[in-house]
Amino acid sequence: MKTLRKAFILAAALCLLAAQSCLKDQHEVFDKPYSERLSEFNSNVRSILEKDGQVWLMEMYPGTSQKFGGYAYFLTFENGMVNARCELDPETVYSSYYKITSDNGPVLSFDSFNDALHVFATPSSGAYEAMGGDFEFSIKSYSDSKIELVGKRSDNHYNLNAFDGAMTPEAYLAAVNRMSENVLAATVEAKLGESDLNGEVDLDNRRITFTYYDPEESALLNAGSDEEEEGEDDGYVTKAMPFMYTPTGIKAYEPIKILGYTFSEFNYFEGNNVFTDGVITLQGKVPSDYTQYPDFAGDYVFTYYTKKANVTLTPDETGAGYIMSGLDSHYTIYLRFIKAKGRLEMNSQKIGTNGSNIIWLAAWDLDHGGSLTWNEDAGMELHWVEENGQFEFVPGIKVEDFYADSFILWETDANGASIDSYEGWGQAQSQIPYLKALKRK
Amino acid sequence: MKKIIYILAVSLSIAVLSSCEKEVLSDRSVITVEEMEQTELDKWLTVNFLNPYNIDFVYRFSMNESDMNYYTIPPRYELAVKMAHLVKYLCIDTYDEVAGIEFTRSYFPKMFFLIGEWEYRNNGTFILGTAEGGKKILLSGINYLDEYGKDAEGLNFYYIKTIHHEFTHILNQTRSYPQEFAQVNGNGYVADSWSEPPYNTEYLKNGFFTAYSQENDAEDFAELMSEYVTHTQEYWDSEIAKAGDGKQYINRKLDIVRSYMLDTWGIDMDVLRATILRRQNDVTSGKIDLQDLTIR
Repeated sequence: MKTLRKAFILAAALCLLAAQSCLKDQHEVFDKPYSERLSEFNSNVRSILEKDGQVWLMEMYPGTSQKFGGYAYFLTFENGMVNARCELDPETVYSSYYKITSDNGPVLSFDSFNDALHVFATPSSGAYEAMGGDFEFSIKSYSDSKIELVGKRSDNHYNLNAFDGAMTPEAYLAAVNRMSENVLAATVEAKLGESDLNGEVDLDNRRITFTYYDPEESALLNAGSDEEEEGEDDGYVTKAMPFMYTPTGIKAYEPIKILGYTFSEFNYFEGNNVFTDGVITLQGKVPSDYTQYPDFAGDYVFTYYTKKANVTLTPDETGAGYIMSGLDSHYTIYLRFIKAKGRLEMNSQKIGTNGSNIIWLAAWDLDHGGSLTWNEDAGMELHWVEENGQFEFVPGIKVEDFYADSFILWETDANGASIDSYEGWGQAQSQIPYLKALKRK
Repeated sequence: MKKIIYILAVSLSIAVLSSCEKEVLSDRSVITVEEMEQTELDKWLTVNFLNPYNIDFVYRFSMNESDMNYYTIPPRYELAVKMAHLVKYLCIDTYDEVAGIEFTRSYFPKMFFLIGEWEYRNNGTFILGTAEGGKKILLSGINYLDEYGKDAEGLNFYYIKTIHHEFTHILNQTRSYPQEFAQVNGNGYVADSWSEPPYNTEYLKNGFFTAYSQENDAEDFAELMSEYVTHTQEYWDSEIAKAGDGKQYINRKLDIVRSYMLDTWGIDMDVLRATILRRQNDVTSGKIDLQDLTIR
């Protein structure tokens, strides 16, 4: 009897198994295998890109969080080659191979070097991550007029828009360059309804950082964050708008929503320093201590601590800064022009070599015990002080909580490992304590 | 009773096995092979690298081949063309000449991957080239080839010596060198400290031909071999003269390298060197057209 029961259980179990294993109810969702669809997608993108004489305008935003702002590129594609022209060098077209391939999906890859396309992606010993530029892009969607791309390195979205403007690409880029030279504002102000909107403009990195009062949005943004770390919620919101230049003004990386208004593109009017999209008007302002680039040139008495020295500021070839000479015969010092502020900045920099070792002019914090850094973003700014009739150095923090009020000559090995202060050019010359001012002779 | 159970079990099993309808497999593969247009260099590489040696020379950027720890960029096409000729004329043809084509086919690395820039570390130093498992050699800094490759010294330092160096590793991994080699300098190897003072300047006196030789005995072996065959005796002697007491160690090790190459691989290092120097001279004197992609 027992055996019979066992047999029944066995039979029942086997029947269940049989019933399950035979139930075949598979439906194909797609009519073709994935790789075939992918290959079709890729070939469609390629034919759109290479469509007769089609010119594409690319919005290139290198770096994480679009930290350098955007740059305009014009591209044409033919027979597996891409021809690129960018606003940094609008008169030259650079050609190289490209491919549309697949790794985790369809990818547009500029896979042979191109002077225009790889400019933000090319690393160096000073910038091992380059400017975080992309040259491989995931293709998100395509149509005849627009191909949506996402940078594989930065995750920024890059659009390729079919360009059918009245201008030639060359003229468009020349106009973009004129605009980038003309726009001059350190801050912007606007009224949005009854509310004030303020923005800090970083022209070098093509970004406006807006601050405005919106308790509701602020509460939302602060929800879940550690209050002690973030500070009290004061109702103010900060929002960054990376932008690129257009022939008529600026265009935001993506539409930005502030206090119920959404905006993305502004026309710029140089005469009254105004950005407007027809609804919102941003009034550009320059600070009262703003100095135009050419006005820094000349001979000065440089004062620091209890000392004086005759120095000369000479504009460098690129127009991006000044060379200060005269302080010491062994080296000159580079001061970069900060366009948005109308100031110069003197940062840690390489000023010479000792064998294979590097001699740095290193930013130095004498006020708080004498720590130093050769981080090339640390240093001091130089600005015009009207009441004293001279340019003065501003001690303070510029990077990573490092306060600078002085400079010191420091030696490192070629790998950047610290050695010691450098006194090979004389002990007295090895320090520039407490920088004060440059007074015109 | 037992019989009934058996019959039941067997018939049900048959039912289970036979009840499923047979799936008809599609005759289409789910894998689609990408087809890319061949460039002139691709065609040249097929004839000069792929067909005779089964060597893949990758000069267009490939995410899968690149090291994600570094920010890299692709090489310029025209310079990749030159590099392909250099690898062929200075390395592949050299080993063909000295050791025979079968030797090159069997042991020479099967893949070259080119990138335009160096692989920069965050401290400002950079990597010239690497090898992976005796199969793949990374050649970096190709976009500087015109600048640094003008003379034999630059060409060797930045590019070609790396290939001989890595190839030596492959030979060593295939047939190991005598243990005795590692004992010449004993505990003189300093691992990653080779680039730091005092090791980065005192290496000759310590019995090493280059600073990097101090990493470990395998690197020391590859450095000795690649430095020796890419330099003239005059240069070799002038370096050895600076070594002082270190000279005896270098010479002792060089003897081991020399007999290993001859006994194990039948390669006379002096013949190899003479061949390399002659070919180097052909390149730097402009006898070889590095841009000619004519297929012969």
